[in-house]
Amino acid sequence: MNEVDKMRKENLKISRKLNYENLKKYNDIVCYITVNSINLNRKEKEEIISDILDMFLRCEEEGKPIEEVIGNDHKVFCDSIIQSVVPKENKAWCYFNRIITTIGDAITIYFTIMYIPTVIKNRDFVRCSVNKSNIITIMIFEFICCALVNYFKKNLSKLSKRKSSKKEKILLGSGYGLVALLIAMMAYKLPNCILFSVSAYYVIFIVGIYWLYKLVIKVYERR
Amino acid sequence: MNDKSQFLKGTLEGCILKIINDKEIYGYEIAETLKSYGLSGVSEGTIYPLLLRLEKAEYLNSTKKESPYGPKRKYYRLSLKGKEELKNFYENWIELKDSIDKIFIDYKGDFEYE
Repeated sequence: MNEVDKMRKENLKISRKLNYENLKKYNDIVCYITVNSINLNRKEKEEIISDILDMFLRCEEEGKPIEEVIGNDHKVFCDSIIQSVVPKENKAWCYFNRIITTIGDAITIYFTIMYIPTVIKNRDFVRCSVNKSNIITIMIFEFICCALVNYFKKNLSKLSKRKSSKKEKILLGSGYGLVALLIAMMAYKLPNCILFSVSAYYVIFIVGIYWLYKLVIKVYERR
Repeated sequence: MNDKSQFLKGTLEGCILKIINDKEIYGYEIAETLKSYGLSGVSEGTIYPLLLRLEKAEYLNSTKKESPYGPKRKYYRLSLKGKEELKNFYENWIELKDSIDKIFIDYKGDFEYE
C-alpha cells in the first residue's frame, strides 16, 4: 500500500469517530474537494482532507459547531481552499486543451454511438460518413453532457441531501424527451447529404491518439 | 468601510508569517494566537487557505507530527524565502502606517451632524 492509500485509509478510519451530523458535513466537504480540485494530485487532496478532519475533531472535542471554524457555507470554504492551492493555468494551454477535448469527444461520440452500430449492421468496416444531422446530434449531446457534469460538480453535496420533487422529475423527464425529439427531428428534417467521408482506420487512429493524450494528461496531473 | 475583515485582508498573511517566525506552530495555534492579540474574528478556517497559499509559494515548510486524537498534524515554520517576505511585509507596513498616521495627525475623532 502506498503512502497516499495509507493516508486515505487512516482518514476514513479516524472520520468514523465523528458524530452523525459532523460526519455528514465532513463527507460533503470531502466529496466537493475531490470532485472540484482536479488539478491537485491525490497526495495533496488527502493532506487537505486530513487537515479538515483535524478541524472537525477539534470542534467536536471542544463541543462547538464546525460552522464556527469554517463558516456557514462549506462551499465557500472549499472554494477558498481550492483557489489557494490550484496553480493558475496557462490561458493558451487551457484553450488548446478545451478545443482538443471538444473535437476528441465529438469524434468519440460519433464513433461509438453512430459508427459502431453501422459496423455491426453491415458486418464490415465501411467508410465513416458524416452528415449534417450527425454533427448537430453530437453538438447537442456534448452540450448536455457538459452542462450535466458542471451542474453535478457544483451541487453534488446539495443533491445528496434531498430527494427531488415530483415537479422536478416531470421537468427532467420532459427535458430529456424534448432533446430526444429535437435530435429525431434533426435527423428527419435535414437533408441526408454526406458532408465528408473518411476511412474507418483513420477515425480509429484519431480516437486512439486522443485517448492516449487524455491518459498522458491525467497521469501528468496526478504526479 | 468599517468592516474589519476588509482591513485585515492584505495584512493577515504578514501577521501569520510573523507568528510562524517566532516558533514552529500549527493552524489552530495560529488562530488562537491571533485571537489573543485581539483578532477574534479570525478562525482556523479563515487562515487555513492562507497557510496553503503561503506553503505553495514556498514561504513555509511543514512537518507532520502526531496529534493526540486525530490525524497527523501539520506544523509550519518559515523558510528563507518566507523570512525575506516577512521583512518586505514589515517594511511596507511601516511605510503605510507612517503615511496614514500623517494623514490622521490632526484628527480628533469628533464630528458634528449638519
